[in-house]
Amino acid sequence: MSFDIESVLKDMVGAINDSAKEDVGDIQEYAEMIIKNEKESLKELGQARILGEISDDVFDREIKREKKVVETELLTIKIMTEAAVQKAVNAAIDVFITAIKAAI
Amino acid sequence: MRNLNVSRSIFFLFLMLGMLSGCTVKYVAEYDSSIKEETVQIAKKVDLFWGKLIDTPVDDRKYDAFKDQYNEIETDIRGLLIKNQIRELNKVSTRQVNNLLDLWIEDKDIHKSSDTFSDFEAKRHRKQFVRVFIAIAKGEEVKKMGASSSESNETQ
Repeated sequence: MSFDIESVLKDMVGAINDSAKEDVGDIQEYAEMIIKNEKESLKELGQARILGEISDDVFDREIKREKKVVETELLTIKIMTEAAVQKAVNAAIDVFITAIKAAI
Repeated sequence: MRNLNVSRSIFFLFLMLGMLSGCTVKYVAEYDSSIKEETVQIAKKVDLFWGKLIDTPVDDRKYDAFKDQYNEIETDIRGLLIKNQIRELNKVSTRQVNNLLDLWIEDKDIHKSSDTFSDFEAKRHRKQFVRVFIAIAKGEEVKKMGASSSESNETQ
C-alpha cells in the first residue's frame, strides 16, 4: 500500500473543517444568548438607577455581580472552544492513523 | 517547493502531537454526567430558595428565617467546587463554580447585614443564578464535544 502525504494532509484538513463546522454554530448561538441576557439585565439595572429605585451602592454592587455573571458565561465559550479544537485535532490525527494503518 | 516544506512541517507537527499524547490531544476534562446532574440539583434548590424568599413579605424576610438554607446551599456549592477542583484539565469550570460561590456568599452577607432583602435584588439575583447555573451545566455538557470520533463510538 502506498502512503501519499499530500492526500493524507488534504483529508486531515477536511476532517478539521468538518469538525469545526458542526461546533461553530453552537458557540455562536450561545454567544448571542449571552449578549441578549446581558443587554436585558443592564437595561433593567440602568432604568432602576435612573428612576431612583436603587441607591448608588446597590447599583455599584450590581455592576460587580454582573461582571461575575457574564464572566462565568464567557468561560463556557472558552470550554466550548477548547473542546471544539480538541475534537478537530483528534479528528485529523484519526485520519492520519487510519492512513498509516492502511499503508502498512 | 515552499508548499511542500509547509506540508511537511504540518505533517510532523501532527505526528509529534499524536506521539506525545498517545494519539489523542486533551484540552478539557472528561465529561462527567454526575457533576452536571449535581449542578442542576443545586440550581433547583437555589431557585426554590428565591421563590420562597420572594413569596415572603419584605418585612418578614429576616436573616434568621433563611440562614439554614443559606448554609445548606453553601455546603452544596462547596462540595461541587471540590469535585471540580480535583479533576484534571478543569480550571475553567472550577473558576465558574468559584464565581457561583462568591455570588452566594455575597447574598448571604447582604441579607445578614441588612436583615431583609429587597424585591428588586431578590428577583434580579434569581435570574443571575439561573444564568450562572446554565453556564456551568453547559460548560460540563460541551466536554462531550471534545471526545474524538473513535472515543465517541466507543461510548455509544
